[in-house]
Amino acid sequence: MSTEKASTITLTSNDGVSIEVDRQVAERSMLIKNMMEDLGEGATATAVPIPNVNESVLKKVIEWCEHHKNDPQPAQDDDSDSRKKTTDIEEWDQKFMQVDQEMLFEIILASNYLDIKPLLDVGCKTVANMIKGKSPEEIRKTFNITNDFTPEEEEQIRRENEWAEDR
Amino acid sequence: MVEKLPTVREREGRESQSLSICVSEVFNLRQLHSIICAMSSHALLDPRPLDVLDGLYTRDFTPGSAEDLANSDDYLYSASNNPVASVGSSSNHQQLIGASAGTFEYGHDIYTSAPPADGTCLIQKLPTDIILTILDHLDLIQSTCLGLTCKSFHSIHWALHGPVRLGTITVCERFAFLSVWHLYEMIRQWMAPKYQWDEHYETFRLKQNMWTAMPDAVGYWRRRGKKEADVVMG
Repeated sequence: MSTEKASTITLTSNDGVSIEVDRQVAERSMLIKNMMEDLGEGATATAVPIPNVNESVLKKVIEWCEHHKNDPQPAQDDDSDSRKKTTDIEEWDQKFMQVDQEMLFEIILASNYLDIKPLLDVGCKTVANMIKGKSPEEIRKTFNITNDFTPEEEEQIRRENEWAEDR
Repeated sequence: MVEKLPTVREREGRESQSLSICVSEVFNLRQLHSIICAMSSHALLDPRPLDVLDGLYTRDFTPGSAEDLANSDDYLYSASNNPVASVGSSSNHQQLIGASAGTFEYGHDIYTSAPPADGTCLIQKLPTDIILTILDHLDLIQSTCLGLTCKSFHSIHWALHGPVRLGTITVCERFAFLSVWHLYEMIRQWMAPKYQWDEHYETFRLKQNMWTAMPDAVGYWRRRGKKEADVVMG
């Protein structure tokens, strides 16, 4: 049909690798979708630079977008309570997120940059699940967090929260 | 070589080993609580929960290599301290080699990947709006625990929630049973070694004051007796 949108878009990662993807897949990214709408059909002929994302992460993001290409687009301001306070992740997404922490946080940053809210949500839920049920010491161990509190600051936290009796 | 961890059934089968010894070896109070909940609600009618418990602490743990041996302490640590059990299904066990732990919650395998070997902390490099999104998925106790890890997270947690009461609890569904997490249990290690949990007054107390804070021994036993009487009377 003459009105049909161009079927593929070329994305270029920050390390110079070009990846061709279906337009429907690329438009899971609201950044790319809005850009395509603003620039019109002519823009599909040129490669779209994605300066904040490297090849491996971009491929991973595209893999997610391909799997979820037929999902309904989320509403623009979907901040409903149903989205929050739940860390249930569908099975495919759980497997998809079984990556090392470098990749996990890169995916989160890339989805934030590309404005792919459902992927950002899955990434944040994965991190939340890694935090759940752990004590502060276990969380530090899980994420290599350095304790930068002084003993006085820790004491102040105990005092402000009224967690201890001094007698 | 590390011996394969005995299952709960095997532990129960050992002669001259009472349930209390068995329990104190493996589980902490929180896990014991959830297990009691599980047993009281289902185990007598349905054998499945015991199978779940067997798998919970021993599934797929067949150490043999040097790597396994190196990780065995981590495994035992996480299995005995996490309220959520450790190590997922066999499909992701291989990926867990070298990882700190796998957690198991809400009936799903939750994969916890290892932190970078060079000691980099990646979560602290995330922008604040992403940290806020992560905190959206955490309840008050979990947010408090994250806030106690470092100053930057504490400032975000404090701005969101302010002071948190020691009596805060979270009820969560685990293996189709309800479990209760208490804030005081989660921060017990953080409060130590200076403070100790005083279960009778339900507060943390300076260790050196633990006994001097209880001058009224008769009153203590009376309170304790009343508590037990309340439980008996239902």
